Amino acid sequence: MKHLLKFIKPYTAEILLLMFLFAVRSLSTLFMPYVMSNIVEVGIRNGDMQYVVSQGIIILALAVGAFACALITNRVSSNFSSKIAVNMRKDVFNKVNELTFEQFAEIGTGSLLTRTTDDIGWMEETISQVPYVFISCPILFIGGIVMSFKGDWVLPLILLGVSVVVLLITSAICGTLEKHWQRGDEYTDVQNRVIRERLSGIRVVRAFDKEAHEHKRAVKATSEMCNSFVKANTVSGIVSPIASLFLNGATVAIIYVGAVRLQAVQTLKAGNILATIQYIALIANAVLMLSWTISFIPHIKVSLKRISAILDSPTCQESSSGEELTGDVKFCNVDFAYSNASNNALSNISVDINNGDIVGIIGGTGSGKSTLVKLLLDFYSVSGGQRLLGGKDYADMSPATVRDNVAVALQKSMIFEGTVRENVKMGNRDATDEQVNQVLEIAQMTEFIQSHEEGLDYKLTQAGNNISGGQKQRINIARTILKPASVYIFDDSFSALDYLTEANLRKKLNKYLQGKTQIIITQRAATAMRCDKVYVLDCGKVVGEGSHKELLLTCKTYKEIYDSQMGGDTVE
Amino acid sequence: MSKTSSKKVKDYSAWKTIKRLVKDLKPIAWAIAISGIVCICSVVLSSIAPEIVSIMTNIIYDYGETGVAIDMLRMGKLAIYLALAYGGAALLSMVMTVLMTNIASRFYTKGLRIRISDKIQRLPVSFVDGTPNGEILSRMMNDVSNMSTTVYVIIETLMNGVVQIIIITTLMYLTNWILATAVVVLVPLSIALSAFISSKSEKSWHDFRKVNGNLYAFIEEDYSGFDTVKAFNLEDRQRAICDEISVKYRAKVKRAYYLSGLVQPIITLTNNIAYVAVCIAGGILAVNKTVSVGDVIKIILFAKMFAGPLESIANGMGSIQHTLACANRVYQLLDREEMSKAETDDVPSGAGEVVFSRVCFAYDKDKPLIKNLNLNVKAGQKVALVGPTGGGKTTIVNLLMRFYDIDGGTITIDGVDTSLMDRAKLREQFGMVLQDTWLFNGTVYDNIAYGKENATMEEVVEAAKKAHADYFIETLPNGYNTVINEESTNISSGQKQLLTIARSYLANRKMLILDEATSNVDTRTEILIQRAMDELLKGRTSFVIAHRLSTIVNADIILVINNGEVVEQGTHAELMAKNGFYTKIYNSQYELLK
Repeated sequence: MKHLLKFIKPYTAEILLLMFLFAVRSLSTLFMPYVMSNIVEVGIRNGDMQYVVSQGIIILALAVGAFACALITNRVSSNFSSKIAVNMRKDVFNKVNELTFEQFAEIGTGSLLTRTTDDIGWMEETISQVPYVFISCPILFIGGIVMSFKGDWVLPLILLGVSVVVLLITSAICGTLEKHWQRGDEYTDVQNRVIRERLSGIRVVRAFDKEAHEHKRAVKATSEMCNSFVKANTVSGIVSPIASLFLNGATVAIIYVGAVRLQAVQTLKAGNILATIQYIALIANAVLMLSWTISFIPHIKVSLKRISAILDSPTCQESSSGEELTGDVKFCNVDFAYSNASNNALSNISVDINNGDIVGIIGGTGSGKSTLVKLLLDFYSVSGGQRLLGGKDYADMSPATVRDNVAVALQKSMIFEGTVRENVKMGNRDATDEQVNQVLEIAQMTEFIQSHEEGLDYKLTQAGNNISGGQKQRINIARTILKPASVYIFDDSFSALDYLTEANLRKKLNKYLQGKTQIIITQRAATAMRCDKVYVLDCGKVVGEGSHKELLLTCKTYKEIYDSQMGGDTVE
Repeated sequence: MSKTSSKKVKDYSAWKTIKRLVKDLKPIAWAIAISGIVCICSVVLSSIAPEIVSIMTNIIYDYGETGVAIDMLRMGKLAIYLALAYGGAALLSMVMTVLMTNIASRFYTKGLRIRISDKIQRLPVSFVDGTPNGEILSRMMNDVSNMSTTVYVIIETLMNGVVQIIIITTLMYLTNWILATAVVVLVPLSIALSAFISSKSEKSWHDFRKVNGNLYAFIEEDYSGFDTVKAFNLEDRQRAICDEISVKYRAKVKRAYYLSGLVQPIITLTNNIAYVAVCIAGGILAVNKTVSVGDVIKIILFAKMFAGPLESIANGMGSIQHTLACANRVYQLLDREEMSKAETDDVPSGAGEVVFSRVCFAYDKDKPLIKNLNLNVKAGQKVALVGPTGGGKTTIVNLLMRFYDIDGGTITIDGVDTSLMDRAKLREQFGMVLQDTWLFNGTVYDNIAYGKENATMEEVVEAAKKAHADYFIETLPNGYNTVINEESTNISSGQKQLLTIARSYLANRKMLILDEATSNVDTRTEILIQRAMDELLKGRTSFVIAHRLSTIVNADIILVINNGEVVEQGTHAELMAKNGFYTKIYNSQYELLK
């Protein structure tokens, strides 16, 4: 609720205006039937044409007034609900981008996606109804009760009692709805996840002829989701009939009791009873509308809860301080374990890299190389030890500041839907085309760019589906080196490149990045041997450090890696 | 890679979409018919109730006029009738709700979602490649659910409205046909007016759904690239784009809701004007004694009752455009061109002889990538594809597996033209490990067993051992039952590759395709896998793409691919002797050592 209020608060003026307009509309609703029956009862019955015309004008005036109100209301409320939804979505979206990796993984991509889109979309549809109901209902209700008390005190009391019962029953029924909505939303997440996985793995799915299996998974999630929603909708759907049953029961009772009281109480006039019966219809409408709205609340509550889980996550919102740090990287006895993991992914890691060094990190599969990169980027906090960049402790900087000074080509080359230019300029949004072309040339992409007449405007599809793996890697590299930083990390960034391309690229790269620190994660001994210094990782520990020559003598793991490759390549 | 030539799909006309919607409702016609009957009964009951009420109030009224004691027995009887009528109406209305909810969700939306999921099975890879995931997801999720809510509203309000109008009209004609006609004229007028106003919002709804799809796609992409966004401090950039789309989104949604929100007030206003007109006309007729006062009053009361159903029809009209816009997007997806059907039941029965003859292919019509490719792979050969990136190596895999169809020439396996074969049967021939590893949110066991239905734990472990994945799997917190998370970030890239290799081992197919299968695996492990692989490959045709030439030097035939053509072919020794392109590539790895 806290969040909903936060989003609604800036629109207090609009809401007050809406409330006022709703009030006016409700009052004219109260008044209109009165005038209408007057026309018939007084005007037509007595053949009083003048009266018919004069009352007709009143009706027209009321109708035009109500119309004007409705127009303004419509404008204001479409404005207001769209704004709240958009703001909410923006906040949730920006917040998701601020989440830590642990928080992100805990909720999961599919669920985050549903929460940002469907949950908010749902609120957008219902939110504009709420003020209307909460204003109109009390006005109609109180107005109706007050008017009917003028006739007799017993009859409205019956109605009041029944109304309370109806609202209590409604609330009780709706209390059971929450779990259905919750379950339905959870399966929506599952459905989203299953379809996303299937689409992104389309080749594997097809290669193993698993489309039918994937379809079955999707159908299962959809059915579960649907079952929960049907349950929720059925229950909330029968709220209205039950409510109207009770209210109509009250009507029956009131007429009967009215007849009894009319004969018992001398002061009571037949007209009073009749008026009361008319007002009952109005009050019943108000109560019905209210109970109908109450049945929505559980879903809104569930959606809000899901959104709040994101908005309430504690995150570091501190942006980069803009401080320029040197490329000295120092890790002292760093320990790190992923959440839910029993073992440390890295233990007792000490690394000392001077500004301008080219450092290689080599090691077996799963030895912790990419984890080290993640710690360098401050994706995670460490459980022990100290990390320093440019002599400054990570603990004293925001993650954004660290990332401002470190450029990285991540192992998985993420390509966003958009032009080549847009993708490369993610490294530096202020870069000129000239600079973009320069980095693309270093990344050996000039030929590719020139072969397309669109040049830098060449459109890449989502995940770079329309270019090859090597081309993705090179765009990723171009993006990375375009970013002004003091440390450049390449996480297995050359794995999809042939040696020829890699050789050319590395030559130009070293020239371009002269004086900057380079950290190269690699599987290739050939790459490692050209580094000033190499760290050898094994099972999350540093098992060797030094130059290629030193390591060949001192580090068994390194020698094995080296031999395996050199031996292999010179097999003839 | 995606084929960029896919045609732009045009929006369907509103009328065409409506016809489609109606046609889609056919399977649930029985349910709609039942709810129609229930609806009629409930409307009849609810029009009986006011009659009883008016009888009862008249009794009270008479008492006021005459003072004669009320017959409480009669009053009690009437009260019971009334209670029964109300009770019946409530009951019917509950039946109606249960029916409608079930129709709308269980049959309609669920059915549509299943149809979309089913459709995905037959969509060509090129379409999936070229369409953001979020686009497809938004259609399946948002658009379908909007269709359901509005279909629900439309069926319910329209049906209710129509039934009420029919009943009221009948009663009116029974009273006085001239005045009745005057009132009834209102109906088509009012409905035409609602339809007209609502049609004004058509474009806005279409635009809105489109922007909604874009927004969905953008958010989906951002969340999938979460680490890149973080690493490059792109939060501000993404925020700006999100703001930009949101501005568009808001403009569209505001306009759409505003325009369709206009329908009801306008109809209410028209109804009120008509009411006054009927009152005045009726009054004049009554004064002139043309029509009896009682009849005039009845007609006026009926005219008043008309307002309710007309308004609910207007409401339905207001939201119909939204439904149509959503339905349009859903139908566009359902109508996408599907993969061609198999033309032959033949299945390659030989040992795996693969022939490419004069194969041409282009992702982009203007830029032929593969031109006149000829390949002759004998059964059991190990074929290596080498060459610069973007040269067309992975494309050959795409064509071999028929993820994309060739534009010219033929590919045959054991003499069977693959383009005529059933795709599933063709793909059954191959085990495949790709550059981009793909794991799903499930256990390690499930992920390996994906290659073979009902694989036993022993078989899975056996495959994992061969792929040298067993060692690391055992160190995971729950071993083979460890759940790989949604973005598979809880294991390393090299480990992912080992799992996909294990998966292929388990599948045990006749032929094998390895596209950079071990690029992220360390070389020691790679050599071990290589040995196991060589064992597996014995006698099987295999295609291997690798940049680490150590993997391919022992291939039976090495094809050097550049710009979509085979520029050289032969064994390692032959190619080295040629001193051509291959030699240059081969020597370049030592370039790095210098």
